[in-house]
Amino acid sequence: MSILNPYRMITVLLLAFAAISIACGGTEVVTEKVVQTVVVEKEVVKEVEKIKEVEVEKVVIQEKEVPVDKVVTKEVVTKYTPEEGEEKASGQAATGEVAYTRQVLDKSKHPTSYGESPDLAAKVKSGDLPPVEDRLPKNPMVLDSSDLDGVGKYGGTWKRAFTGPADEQNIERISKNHMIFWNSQMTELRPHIAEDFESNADATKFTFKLREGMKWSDGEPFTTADVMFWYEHILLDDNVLPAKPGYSKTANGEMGVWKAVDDYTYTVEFSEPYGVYLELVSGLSVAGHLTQFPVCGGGFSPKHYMSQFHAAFVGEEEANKLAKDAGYDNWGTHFCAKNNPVKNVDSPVTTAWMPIKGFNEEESVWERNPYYWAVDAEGNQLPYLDKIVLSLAEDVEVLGLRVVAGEFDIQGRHVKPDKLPLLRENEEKGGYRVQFTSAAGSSAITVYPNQDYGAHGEGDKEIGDLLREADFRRALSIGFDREQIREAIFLGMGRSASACAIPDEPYAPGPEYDQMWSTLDVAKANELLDGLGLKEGSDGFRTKPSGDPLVLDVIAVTGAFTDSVGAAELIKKDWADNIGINLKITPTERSLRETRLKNNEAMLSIWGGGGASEPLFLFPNHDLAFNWESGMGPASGQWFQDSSVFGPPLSASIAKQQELWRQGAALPRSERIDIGKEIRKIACEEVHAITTITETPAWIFVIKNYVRNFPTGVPFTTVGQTPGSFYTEAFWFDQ
Amino acid sequence: MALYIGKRVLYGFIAIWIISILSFIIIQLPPGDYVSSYIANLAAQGSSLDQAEAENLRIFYGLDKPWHIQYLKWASRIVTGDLGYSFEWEKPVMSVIQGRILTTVLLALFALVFTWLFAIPIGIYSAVHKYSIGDYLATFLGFLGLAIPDFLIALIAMWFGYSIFGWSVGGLFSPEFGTAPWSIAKFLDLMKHLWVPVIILGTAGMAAMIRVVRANLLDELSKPYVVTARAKGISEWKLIMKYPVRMALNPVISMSAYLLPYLISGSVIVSVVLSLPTLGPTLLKSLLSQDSYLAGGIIFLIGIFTILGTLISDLLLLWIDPRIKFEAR
Repeated sequence: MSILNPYRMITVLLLAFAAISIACGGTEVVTEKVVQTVVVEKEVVKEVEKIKEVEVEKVVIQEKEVPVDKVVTKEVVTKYTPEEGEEKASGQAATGEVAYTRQVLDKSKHPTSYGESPDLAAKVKSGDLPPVEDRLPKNPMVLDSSDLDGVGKYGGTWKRAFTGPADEQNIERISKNHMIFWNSQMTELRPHIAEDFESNADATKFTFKLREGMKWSDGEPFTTADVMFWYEHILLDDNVLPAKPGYSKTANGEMGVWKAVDDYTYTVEFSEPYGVYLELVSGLSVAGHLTQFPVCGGGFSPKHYMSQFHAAFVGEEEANKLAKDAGYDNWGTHFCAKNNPVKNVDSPVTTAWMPIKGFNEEESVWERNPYYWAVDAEGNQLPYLDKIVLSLAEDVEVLGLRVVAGEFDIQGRHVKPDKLPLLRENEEKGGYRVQFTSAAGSSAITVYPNQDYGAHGEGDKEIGDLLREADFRRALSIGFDREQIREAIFLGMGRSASACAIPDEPYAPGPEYDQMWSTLDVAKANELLDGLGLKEGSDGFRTKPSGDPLVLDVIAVTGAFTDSVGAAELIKKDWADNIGINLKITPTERSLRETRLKNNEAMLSIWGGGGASEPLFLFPNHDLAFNWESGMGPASGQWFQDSSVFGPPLSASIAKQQELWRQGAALPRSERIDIGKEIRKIACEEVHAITTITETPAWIFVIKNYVRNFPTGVPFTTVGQTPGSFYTEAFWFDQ
Repeated sequence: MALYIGKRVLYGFIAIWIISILSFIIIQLPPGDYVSSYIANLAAQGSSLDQAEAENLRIFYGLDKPWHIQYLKWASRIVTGDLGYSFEWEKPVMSVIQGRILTTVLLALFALVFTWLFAIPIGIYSAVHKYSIGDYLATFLGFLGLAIPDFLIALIAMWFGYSIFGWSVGGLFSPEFGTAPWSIAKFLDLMKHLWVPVIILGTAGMAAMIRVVRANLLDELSKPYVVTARAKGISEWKLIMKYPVRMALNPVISMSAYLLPYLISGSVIVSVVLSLPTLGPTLLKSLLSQDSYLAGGIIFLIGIFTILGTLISDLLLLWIDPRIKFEAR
């Protein structure tokens, strides 16, 4: 009766085998569940702005007295007439009329007396809190929702669902704390925590002015000391951030220099133009203390709280001891974990709601921040909603059923579009309505021919040479029917278009590019392929110029986005029937996709993007060969980031795009529009990405009927951290 | 006896040590690590991490070290009862799973009792009334239960629960009790929800158990000692219950040793579908995100459960079946 007898060992091995099969083989089945959750909201949080070797084309701004990009100065926003620029931008794939909560930028229209919620008023009365005037900064952010339902009522708990600790973005998107931010239209930069901001003329020095008298959620003053603490003791400290994130560096790797001018003014200075910097801090890694993952980004940090974990303040020995006691290896790791309020509820915040129970619990609870620095048009302190309670759903299907059952107040995240019929059917019973947000033009299924393929010794050079032929890519692009993808994969929603399809995107080159090389034309496609000398082989498929069989291989990630494997099957059939191209589909697990792209082993790959919903200069991963993730040139993309790996692109059009992007990134926003258009033109003329269906209303919000101040007709973007761009603090419940 | 148990415990430790290595290797098998799956997850949402930031994360989590160093670090902690640290939850593995161990064990126990309560009497009935209509009916229903995938039953039960009775969908607690401290009201709430997964998980194991009891009992029923007993005039009920049933239950006990690990690993899908706060979904998620210490910790625990369960079932067998004796070695 030994434990080591064969019978027992088999059990143990079976167990191990079961685990292995879950760990490896099983993932395909299961990832589907998990990954599809992301369909609903596409997001960008960390964005990389790493520019090397910029040839600085100096911006000459002729006798402009107003500093470039000083948005605030040109704002003349009155209550009912939106700024001209804003209204114009509303023509995009918007659904319904455009109405949203606006910031009142004209200080003369700001309220002079303040109100507060009953629960806080009670606390003031009992002496637990200072009066509202003392809790608000001198100049709070003023939000005007008169286009929607106007001044709201206090109270209510916002019930939502989250899927686990990795779902941090769920709350980060609702509770934003950017230094500067966007309007809901995503067309203009707006003050946020910083009351004012400006850039000098050549975009090397950026000045931010904080709100005087603003406080952390624990009542401590929020000053430039918190910004400088982050700069000196997080960004510059090698124990905390051993490698310096790209957003802190210029094109040549020179670190920016942060300087506090006074308690409420600080500057960030770079040794060369960094025109995209203001947009960068409005939505990315440096987007605030709460929105930073466990990587110590954020741009500011509560000095009065965090210094107790920092070696520079308590000594290395003590800091390490604290870390060890808490189960960490060293104080740097411990420090960064403590600096993440989404999981460490003891940390003070500057967001509208503060954490009571973090994301590493079975339920996450957030309560009104009594020191939140925004008021409505009548001076009532925001937010209106008392609480956010997020319940853990182990599975998106269960989450979906709970949405159908009407258990959540506002839920967009993790609601899959395929639930739409069920959602509609139960609208009345569940007491909710379904609202689409206009998803800007990005094509959710895009095929990227890798123009670096075979260029560096990995893979078949002959196929790589074909992929570098514009005519070959064009033939592929017009060789299949996009309509059937629209019907089968997107339930008939959206429309087929090229990568230049967004009419309102600032860098869109024009309507003549809308359908370029993106409508089925079998005769033309075959003509192009014949022209390349690709003859039909004995099996009916075209062969390589050398006469060997030509088999294209496409990586389709299982479960990610929409059904990319399903779409690949449709394309495969069309290519075989129409143009004699033999496509092999390789369903790939997500992590493996990264490996294959990084090693430049992907011939074709499918991912979302192209005709980006993302600003070209903030998230260019899918618009040009920018980094490893750029399917059209993963090797030259990596070379673009670090010239010691791989090598320059063989494709002239890729090289041209990279060069243009470098020029553009150094320029202030208004100066780089033409360059952006040029980059897009190349993408569409040269078919760098084979896009399919754009403007799919893939983003659904399920909203209880009593929810007020929910905007309509505004875009869903990742840079804007939608629904953060809806100004959630102005939401209220009419119950 | 003491020597035997001592020996078993010693072997158990060796097995646990092997399990700890195995479970760690298993986690390292898929390509990439926690950081790359984290990045992949971000990329699927349209965002990305800077190379420098990814590097920082790897250093934070010690993933820049070779796996055997990571293993030693983990193993040296396990000795002190510390299962390590979960990357994803940013807290110790033990505090992630301790609340779930209770619900898991409760679920397992109830499912076990449910299976026994129904399977054993039905098995006995089927054997005694061989080829009767009741036997066929029990067999038919048993196989039906075996043939229908349990996650399907779970989905259907959930939908009916919601659409007909208006229950909250999935989970083990009503929303108001979800994170409340334990109380009698919360326990009652748990009971209200628990029976659905108990029945679903129970029915899956029931068919097998019915067949085992039936087959064993059939073997025993024709044995001479039964005939002898019957010849001596013992009432039929007492006769069957006292002798052949006792023999027939032998495999039932050894089978139940595997129920605990089965309920964690084998019921993952049901637990995910029903959104049960048990170890199953946590294991699945940790494997997907390659949260190595969390996954390793759970697999390790399952291993311990298996070994413990085996030990207990062997001791039970010893007690229930006097024919099993030790050979003094």
